[in-house]
Amino acid sequence: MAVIEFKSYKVKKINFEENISFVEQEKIRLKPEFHVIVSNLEGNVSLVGLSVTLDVNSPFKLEVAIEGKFKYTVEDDKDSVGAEQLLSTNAVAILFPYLRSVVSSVTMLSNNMPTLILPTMNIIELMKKQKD
Amino acid sequence: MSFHFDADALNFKHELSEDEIKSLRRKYDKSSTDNKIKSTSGEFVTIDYSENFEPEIELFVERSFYEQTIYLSDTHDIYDIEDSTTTKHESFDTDGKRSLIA
Repeated sequence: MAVIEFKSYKVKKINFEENISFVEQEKIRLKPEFHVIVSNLEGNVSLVGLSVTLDVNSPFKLEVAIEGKFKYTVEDDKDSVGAEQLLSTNAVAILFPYLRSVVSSVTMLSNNMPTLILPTMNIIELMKKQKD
Repeated sequence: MSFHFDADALNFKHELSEDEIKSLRRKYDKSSTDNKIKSTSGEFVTIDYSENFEPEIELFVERSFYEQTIYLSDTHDIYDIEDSTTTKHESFDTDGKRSLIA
């Protein structure tokens, strides 16, 4: 068995609103804010929440939050990485493509601006930034 | 990069060959009074049936449909994500300890 097992995920929140005060520009510089919340559910099962917020200098205000359920198996943690480390980095990396997919789908469905594809992220740096 | 299509730029004239003219004469009803006929592909076609028949055809496209900015390029050419954690800004090692790319 794997040291963490991805059980499922669900979308917790999708908020999309056109930014009517946005002035059209050739290059749109976005500043997304990412947040991660790890919470223990019961025993070795944990919930990892991952969200992104976009509202500064953006043609739309967007907030998407998803939540994944993971099972940590200590016996398989041969390198003793630990649940906290695995859930706050690997689990987030597992969830990130789902978040990217929701963001792309929502912006595509808006039929107003081009589809936004979140770039590849360094999750470890992301977590460091959040701690700071 | 984005491209803006002006509807006027989509109204074009095309020189027709004699064979195309003959084909058009057979395809469309010459007795039409307003000489605007919807073709089988849904476009409105205007044909000049005067004696000095000019071998030209104009295609009229729904203006509102094209009066929007159409982006043809990659999304990253339009959006610039200002975040130090994107791999665009981050050089990462390959041992997997400092980097986990998703």
